Amino acid sequence: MFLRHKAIRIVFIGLILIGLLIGCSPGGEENTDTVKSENNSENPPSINTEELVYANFRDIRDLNPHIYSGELFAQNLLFEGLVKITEDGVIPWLAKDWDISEDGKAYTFYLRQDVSFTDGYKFDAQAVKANFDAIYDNKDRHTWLELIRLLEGFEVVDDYTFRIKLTKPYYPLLTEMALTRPFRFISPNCMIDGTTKDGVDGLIGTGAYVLTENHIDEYAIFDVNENYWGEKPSIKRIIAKVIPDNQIRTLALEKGEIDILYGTNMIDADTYSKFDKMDGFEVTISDPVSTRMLIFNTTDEVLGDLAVRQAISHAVNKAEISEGIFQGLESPADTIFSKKIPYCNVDLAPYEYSVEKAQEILDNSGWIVNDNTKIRKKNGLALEVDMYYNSNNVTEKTISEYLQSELMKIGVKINILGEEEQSYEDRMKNGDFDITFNISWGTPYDPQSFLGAMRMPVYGDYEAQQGLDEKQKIDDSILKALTVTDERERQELYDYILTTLHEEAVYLPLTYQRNRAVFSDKVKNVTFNPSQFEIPFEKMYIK
Amino acid sequence: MTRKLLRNKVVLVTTSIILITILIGAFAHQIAPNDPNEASIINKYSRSSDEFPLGTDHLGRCILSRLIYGIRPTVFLSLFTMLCTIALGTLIGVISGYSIGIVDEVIMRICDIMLSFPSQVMILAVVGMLGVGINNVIFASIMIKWAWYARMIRSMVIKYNNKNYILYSKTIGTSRSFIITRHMIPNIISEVIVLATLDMGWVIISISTLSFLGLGVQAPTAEWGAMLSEAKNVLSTNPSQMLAPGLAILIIVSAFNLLGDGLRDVLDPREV
Repeated sequence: MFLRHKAIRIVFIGLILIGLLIGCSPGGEENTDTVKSENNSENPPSINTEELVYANFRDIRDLNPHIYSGELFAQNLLFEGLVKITEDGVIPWLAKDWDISEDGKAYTFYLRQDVSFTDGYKFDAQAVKANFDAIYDNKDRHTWLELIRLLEGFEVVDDYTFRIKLTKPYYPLLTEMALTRPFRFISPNCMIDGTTKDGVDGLIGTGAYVLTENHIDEYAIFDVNENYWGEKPSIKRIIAKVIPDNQIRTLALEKGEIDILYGTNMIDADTYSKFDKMDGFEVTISDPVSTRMLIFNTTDEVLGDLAVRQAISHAVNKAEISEGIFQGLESPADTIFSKKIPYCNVDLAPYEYSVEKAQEILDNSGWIVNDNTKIRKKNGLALEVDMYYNSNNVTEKTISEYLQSELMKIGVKINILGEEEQSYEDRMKNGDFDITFNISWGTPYDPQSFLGAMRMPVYGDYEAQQGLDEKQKIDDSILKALTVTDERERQELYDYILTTLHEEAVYLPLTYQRNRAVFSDKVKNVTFNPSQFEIPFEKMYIK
Repeated sequence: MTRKLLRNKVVLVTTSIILITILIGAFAHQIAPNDPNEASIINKYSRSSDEFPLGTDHLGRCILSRLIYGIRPTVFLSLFTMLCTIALGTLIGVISGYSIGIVDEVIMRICDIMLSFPSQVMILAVVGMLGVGINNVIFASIMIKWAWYARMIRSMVIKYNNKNYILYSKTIGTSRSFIITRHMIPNIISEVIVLATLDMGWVIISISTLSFLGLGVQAPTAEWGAMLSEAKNVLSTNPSQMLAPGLAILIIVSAFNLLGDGLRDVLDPREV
């Protein structure tokens, strides 16, 4: 044992300490080295303007456009829909025009005639019908879309004309047609027995990019579609790397291994402000797109008590979350939807932050603080709940820990548990939680699709609301609001739904989320689509 | 022997480090400057100040206080795990070594099975089955580690079993329990202490590792591995967050390892 000799031992410990210090000191020297070598080299460093490296936290998985288990950004690269949603409303895409019948029940789409799938299959009304058949064949999976349930039929009128008929007029139809899934078109050659619900045999779309290679859990390569019918994107190749850990992603961007990070889940406020100040990088942030909120499971014996939900709503300091965790990037939210969302300008009294008020509500409703544990109790039931968060999300853990510490002050004990994204989503769907995070889906889904999904077990909403006395009435009102044609009546229904959900305190809005991107300054024109789940790679270029 | 121990400087220094740490941990409530779990998000990542001597973490909690409270799960639970492991290992080892025959055979084959898996992987598997939580981590560590001690202790027991004084005791009909408690245990205990001290470092790291992975101590309880894990999440923006828990683990683990080394020098001079 050489460690027995004192001198050697001291030297050894010294080495470890020196190693630590070097490891922890900022890499100033390294930077000067790279600058030097750049100056010394005779040719200026050339930038590859055709290739963009993007990092995602997980594999692209199954990109079948008609089901929900693939990464949306990738599905959006490969597959296109009849119409597209933009800041200025719905615009033509694969359909160059459309008509809506007088009664609002029939939609006729006139298709572009110059489009082919990348396997050469002609895009025409037959291909559209084949896709609709495949989607409708799996209609149980799409129940969150009212459109599917109101569908009376669809037909090929002529080679390039397609008609959809509804049983009732449905105002968000065009918006739902524009969503990233499921109304996007895959080559009928890829269908298995005329359907897509049991998987697809290839991922052939009409989009600006094609999937060239996919190495599971490593990277995927998307190359530009050489025969694309529209304007070809400037970036010829997109490499989507899989980097699950936030810090490694950040370091990879700093080192130049990747060019861009994109999305609310992928960039926390600290990273954002770090790159904001750093040379060679740029950041951009969207307008508020959706609401970050908590959802309470009303079937839980503790949270079933309205007083508890209201008390917690009063006890959360949203301004501090906005300032402390998001450094002001996301503003505090008082209602489920921002007032700018269509039909959501409803006058609601916010649950203002007041610890005293929260205490008072709990005291009055019989939840008394136990002096030993500092946790409130009522009829032998402790005020203790489990809160689940998605451990792939960069800020949910911090918020959970913060809330845990804050709510302890009013005698509410929260156990926080993190889970990988897929099991987290499964748990939400099964309603197997007390409190969990929830986001509104943002444009173009809000409010109609988000509310529509409350009527069915899609995410946690349906299960979480089961404890409400008025659940049936809420569901009926949602359906009616989506189908009624009279604007005033529709607004009244939305008023009722939003007011009830607010007063029942099922949701606890925290902040209005803003989409963000952090990227190397060689990437230009980084913008945001209305849907926070898509990434407009086709608009970017490298210079 | 005590004098010999005191003359060994490494033993002296490491013992004082460990004892001081244990004392600080025991009186955490009196010593810590702040409540370790009280978040004040506006003060996050603040530098060292009079109020927060080591600064604050990502939720604005006092790092020094968390470090001090973290001694409890990190060091105390490791000690507890070690004691249980040794108790179980000694019991089984003595039974096995003393009873030679079918019982020994069965116990040793079980040990073989346990030892043929890498221990970290086995712990992960057990925690995976039982669910996350510090109790399960401790249970899993004990369940995995006892076999190693049982085997070592068995071989010691067999070694002493053939010593003349024990053979003599047996001949004159001394009771089995007397032989074990009066002759065996005092002899093997010093060797076991050396083994255990050397292994303490491993247990601390193991518990910290599992907390680092989010399987051990659950938030908001302060634990060094868990603190390191939280610091890792801000590695690129606030690298200094890793220093405090990292150094704490380094120092305490080195102290236990060096102490074990020193104890071996003192207690087991034959091998020097």
